[in-house]
Amino acid sequence: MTDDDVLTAVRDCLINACDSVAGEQMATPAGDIITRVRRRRLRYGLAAAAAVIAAVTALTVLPGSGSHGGGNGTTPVRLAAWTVSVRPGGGIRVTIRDLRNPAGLQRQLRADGVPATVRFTSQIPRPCLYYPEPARHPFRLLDRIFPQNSQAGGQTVFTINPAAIPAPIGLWINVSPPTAQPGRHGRRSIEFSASWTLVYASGRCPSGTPARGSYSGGGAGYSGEGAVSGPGN
Amino acid sequence: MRSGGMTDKRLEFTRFYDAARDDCLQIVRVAVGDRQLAEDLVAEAFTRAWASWRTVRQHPAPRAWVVRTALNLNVSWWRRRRREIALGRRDLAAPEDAGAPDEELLAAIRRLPVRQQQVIILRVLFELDAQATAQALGIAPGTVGVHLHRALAALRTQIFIPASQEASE
Repeated sequence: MTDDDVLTAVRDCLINACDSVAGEQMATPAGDIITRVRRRRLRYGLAAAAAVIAAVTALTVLPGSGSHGGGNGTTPVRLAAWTVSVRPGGGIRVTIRDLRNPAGLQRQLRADGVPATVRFTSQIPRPCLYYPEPARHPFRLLDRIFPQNSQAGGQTVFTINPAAIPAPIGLWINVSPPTAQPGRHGRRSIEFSASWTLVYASGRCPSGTPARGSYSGGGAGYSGEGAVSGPGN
Repeated sequence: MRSGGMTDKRLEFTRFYDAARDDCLQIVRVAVGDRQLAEDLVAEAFTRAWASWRTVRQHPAPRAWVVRTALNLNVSWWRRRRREIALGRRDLAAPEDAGAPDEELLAAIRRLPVRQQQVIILRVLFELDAQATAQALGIAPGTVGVHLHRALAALRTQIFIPASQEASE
């Protein structure tokens, strides 16, 4: 018996089998499929949002402290609750110790060329602001924009690569509200986490109807315990 | 317009789903042999198709993409089932009733390694050539030939040919 004979027998068998179940129909409506995806994205987005929010509260921007030197990579601007510094390669390193003054951090990041929107609550951007996920490798872009993140020594640190942010994209950075917990050596500590979501940098809906696609990073695996510092200036 | 594009995308996916879902269900149903499992696998595969619609819509055979994804999702279940079958005693004698040879062959197809099973289904039911099958599975065309050859070799022993037909050959 040749391969062709076997293939013919297999074809007949499969076609007969398909004919025998020809009346069977999917019971799942299309709307359920679409809703599943929306729910998954929303779940992930919320988890991610809960994550960075914690990272940013801090500070009070000191008048005159100015933005750290654009690109010299050596002199970070150190603020009470967070620090933003420009690295030699152009990356923006953000260190967060306390969740204060999101507007200050937002201003600082924008001054350094990062189209960021920073919030310290679990707010998520309006649906129409979400930037749709790329068709392929949706998280590679996030990985390029946020090449590093870590938490150690009572602070959360992440690096933003402004060069990796395509023109229409902005960053929605959320840092979760801190939860005070007993820490070591009598210090209070806070559990915080950070997340980022890609949005339209314009901050406006590109059209009248909300867009559906979005993707976020951070969240799972990116939460840390930060020592509570004193109030920002 | 972004909103229009989104609506069009959803409409396009819904049309694809409505047109393809029953065919995909029936093929996966035949491959896995369980109605409810097939429904779950196909629903999940379509969910992933919608999540990656911009990629899937450009696929040369979107239905094949869905079936392949459903069968991939079934891999762990499939492996368990293969072990269960291997532990059971099988009677290899040719059954006497007319429908039995198909059942035996169908059972053998279900026991194939998943990649061989996918190649058989894409080549036979979707009538894809080696190049298109390779593209759908993300493997080299030569590898498709290897899987097909191995699958046919494994299935050859399961094909019942009536004695009169064999004698005439």
